[in-house]
Amino acid sequence: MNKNEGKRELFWEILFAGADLGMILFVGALMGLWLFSGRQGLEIIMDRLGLFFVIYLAAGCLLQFFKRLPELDLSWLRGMAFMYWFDILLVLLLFLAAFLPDYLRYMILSDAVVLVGRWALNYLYTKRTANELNHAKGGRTLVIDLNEKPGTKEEFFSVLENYCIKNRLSLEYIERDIPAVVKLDGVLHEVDLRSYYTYGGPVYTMDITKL
Amino acid sequence: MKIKIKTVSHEVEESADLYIHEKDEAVDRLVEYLEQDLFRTVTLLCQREEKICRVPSPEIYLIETVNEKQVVHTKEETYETNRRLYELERLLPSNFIRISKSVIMNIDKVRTYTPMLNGLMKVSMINSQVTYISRKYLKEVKDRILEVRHYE
Repeated sequence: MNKNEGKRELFWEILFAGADLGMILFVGALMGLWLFSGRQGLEIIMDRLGLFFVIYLAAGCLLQFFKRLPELDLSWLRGMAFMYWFDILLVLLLFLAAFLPDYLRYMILSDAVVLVGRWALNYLYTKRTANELNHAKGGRTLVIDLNEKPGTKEEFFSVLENYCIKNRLSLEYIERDIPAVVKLDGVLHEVDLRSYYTYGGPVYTMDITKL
Repeated sequence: MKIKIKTVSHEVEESADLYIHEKDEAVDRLVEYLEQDLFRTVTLLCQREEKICRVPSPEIYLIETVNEKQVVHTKEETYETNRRLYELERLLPSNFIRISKSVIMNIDKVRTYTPMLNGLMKVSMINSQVTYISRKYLKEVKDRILEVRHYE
C-alpha cells in the first residue's frame, strides 16, 4: 500500500465510522430532546431536521478524525495533552452553554451522555482484553510507584535491594543495568524504570516482570 | 527419503523417527534442525546501511511501515526490507501478528498490554519499545494470541 492509497483508505474509514457515530448522536439528541422537553422540543427543530442531520454527520466525522490522531502521530494531542485539551473544551462549552437556547443545550447534553457511555463501554472492553492478554502471556508485572526518579543507576538498584530486604527475597544480578535482569528467589525477572503522567506531573515506577 | 506425516492431538508431544542407513554429520544437522524447531523460524533478508543482513525471525520485535518502507526492529537495531507487510504477514511464523494497518509484532517479545482512553491498546515490548493495537484489529489480535497460547 503506498502513501496515497493509505490516505484514501483512512479517509473512507473516517467517513463511514463518522457517519455511523453521527447517526447515533443524532438519534441520541432527538431522544434527549423528547425526554427533556417533550413534543414541543422536537417541533422546534423539525423545520431544520435535514440541516441538523448533516451537522451531526460532519460532527461524527470530525470526532472520528480526532480519535485517529494518535495514528497520525501528533504528540500535542496524546496522553495527558489530550486530557488538558478536553478540560479546556469542557470549560469553553460550559461558558457557551449560558448563551445557547434550551433545545440546543438538551441536545448537547444528550450527546455527551451517549459519548461518555460509548467511551466507557469501549474502555471496559479494551481493559478486559488487556487483562486476558496479560494473563495469557504468563509473565506478570509488579509495578511499584517511586517517590522520586532515582538520580543514578546505583540509587535505582538500592530501591530494588530495599524492596527485596523488606519482602525477604534473595537477589542475584545477571545484568546490572537499566533494565536489569535479576534472579529473585532463583526466578529470572527483568526490572525496569518507567514513568507515566498524571495531572500532578510524571510518576516514576519500578516494574518487575517475570521472564 | 520417503516422508510420512501423522497428525497427533495437542496433548501429545510432537516427535520424529528417522530410519536411516548411516548416522553422519548431515543427519546430526537434521536432528539439530528438528530438535531446535529451526524449521519454524524464518530468516529475512534485510538492508542496513547498504549492507545485506540476515535477520532470524526470533530476533525480530516488530515490523512497521514508515514512509512506504518496511522497518524491521530487533532488540537494539533497525533494518529495512523491500517485502510488503502483507507478504511478511504470510511469511513469518504464527507468533507474528498484524496489529494495525502498518505494524506486525512478535507476541513473544511483549512485556505488557495496557488499555488506553482513546480505545487503542498500548503494547510495551521487552526492549521498552512501544506500539499500539488499533481498535479495528483488537478482536482478531486477541483471538489469535489466545489461540497461539492455547497450542503452546
